Amino acid sequence: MLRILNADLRELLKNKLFYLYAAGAFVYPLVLLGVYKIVIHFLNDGSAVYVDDILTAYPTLSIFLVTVMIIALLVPGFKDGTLRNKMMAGVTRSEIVISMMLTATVATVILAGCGFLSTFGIGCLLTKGFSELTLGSALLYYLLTVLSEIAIGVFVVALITVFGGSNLALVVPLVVAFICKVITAIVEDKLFPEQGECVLKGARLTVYTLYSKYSAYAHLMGPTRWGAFEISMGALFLTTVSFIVAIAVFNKRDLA
Amino acid sequence: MEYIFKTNNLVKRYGKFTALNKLNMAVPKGSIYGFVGKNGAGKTTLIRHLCGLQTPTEGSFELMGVASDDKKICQSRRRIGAVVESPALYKDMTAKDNLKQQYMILGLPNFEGIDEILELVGLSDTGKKKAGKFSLGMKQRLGIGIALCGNPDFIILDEPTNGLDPQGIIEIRELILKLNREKGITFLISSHILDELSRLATYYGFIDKGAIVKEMSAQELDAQCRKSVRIKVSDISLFSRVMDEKGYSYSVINDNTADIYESLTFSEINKDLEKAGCNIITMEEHEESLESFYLSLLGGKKDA
Repeated sequence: MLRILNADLRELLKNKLFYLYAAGAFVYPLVLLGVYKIVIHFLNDGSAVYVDDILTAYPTLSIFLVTVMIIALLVPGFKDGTLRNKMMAGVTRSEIVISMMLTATVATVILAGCGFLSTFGIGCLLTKGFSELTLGSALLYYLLTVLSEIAIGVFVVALITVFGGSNLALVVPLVVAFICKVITAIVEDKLFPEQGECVLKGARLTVYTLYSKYSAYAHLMGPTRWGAFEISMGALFLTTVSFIVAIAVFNKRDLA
Repeated sequence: MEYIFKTNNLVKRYGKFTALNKLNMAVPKGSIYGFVGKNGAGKTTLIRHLCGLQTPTEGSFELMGVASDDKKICQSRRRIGAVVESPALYKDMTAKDNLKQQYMILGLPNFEGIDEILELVGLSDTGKKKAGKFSLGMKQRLGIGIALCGNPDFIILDEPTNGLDPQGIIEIRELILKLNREKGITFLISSHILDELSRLATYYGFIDKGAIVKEMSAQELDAQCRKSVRIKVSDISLFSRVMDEKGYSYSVINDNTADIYESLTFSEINKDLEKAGCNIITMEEHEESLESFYLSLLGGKKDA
């Protein structure tokens, strides 16, 4: 198991695209700050940019950044035959899946680390500091965001093992991310309307609440409304289901 | 004879389509096995089974004595190398880094032998050039280099000379022969270029519609293909008696036809056979290439 993980991590660190995505994660908060500053300049209403604004806006992009990065890192292995080299080296299919998931996790954590360094660096140097968040709550928020990102990363790996080799592997994870984003917007709007109170009842209220509480995608939509327990459980649930599905499917499917 | 790979009524179905149909073949250890068949005959499907990419619908195979449903098959696969369809390379890495990557996948303790492999496949002077920028021939050689990592006993090459220029084809051929002779590596080579295959193979397997039609050694094929006089006679037993008496080399094709592998004139043969009471119906010079043998065996056009 360790040999394949070792090789996969080496492959990750030799991949130029990975550094491009890491740079993207680093630059995005800076771009975000620039956009906020321009908007505030034109609004001219005396408002200011805080670390909170950048911190809570970053995860909305990270869903797509993590998804695209994992697709770019793993799908080529199915197409260029390098996956075949692993299978002929006596590595079991389960080991390949676990290694892919761990590699995706490492890549996601590094990406989040870049975003973290950039957000807090910019926050300290170029904003007015924290508004509603404290340093402790901001760090906890970041940690929970990374957990949700890891769960989404593992889920994307599962989708790739199901569709790997076909163009669906390039499209499905992105479509899922987009649909989940739309669903999250609808659910949030119904559960926490800007005006008035929530009018949902019965089963619909239960389903909407469960989605909002336990969906990793829902947590990457700005300031969170739920506690560390719900977010961790949601991430754990998605990771576990993705792992089971990926192992079951990949061990059965024919590869080209 | 010891076999490195053997199948037992191997069947692979994709829905209603049967890609492998009770296929039985055996690759002798130390041989260069030429795997010949039309497009869609089942060559690549079999190779995918061998590499562990696909599992049989029915039947089984043995790789180095380990059955396909045995968990130890993964260990046997560590002793094979393969280039299937196109070489599997990391395009962002140099030739050396590609080999290091395969060494790590194999879990080898150090990178000893990498320079030797690069030398062997003629890529020792590629330096920092990335594999993505290699020519087709260099990619093919690097693919073979990757297959050589971990000193395999068995190498599978699917169309190894596809898209190569004449110089590249010669280089790959010489490399295969060298590895077979010097390191005793068994090869299974599927190729459309029958003339090229005939310069390499020591054993042949002809596949059609997912089943092996014929397996034979290169000597047996040479015997079938060598220059001869094909003769049709009135009585084959009388013919055989005359040939035996004269000590001529011959083989009986059917109950009135035979091939004589001697340089003889019509009058010579006619005199001897007439004396024994056997009449010649037809007689012609006969020579069969691998290609014509293939066509006579499998039929169809020249699309092997």
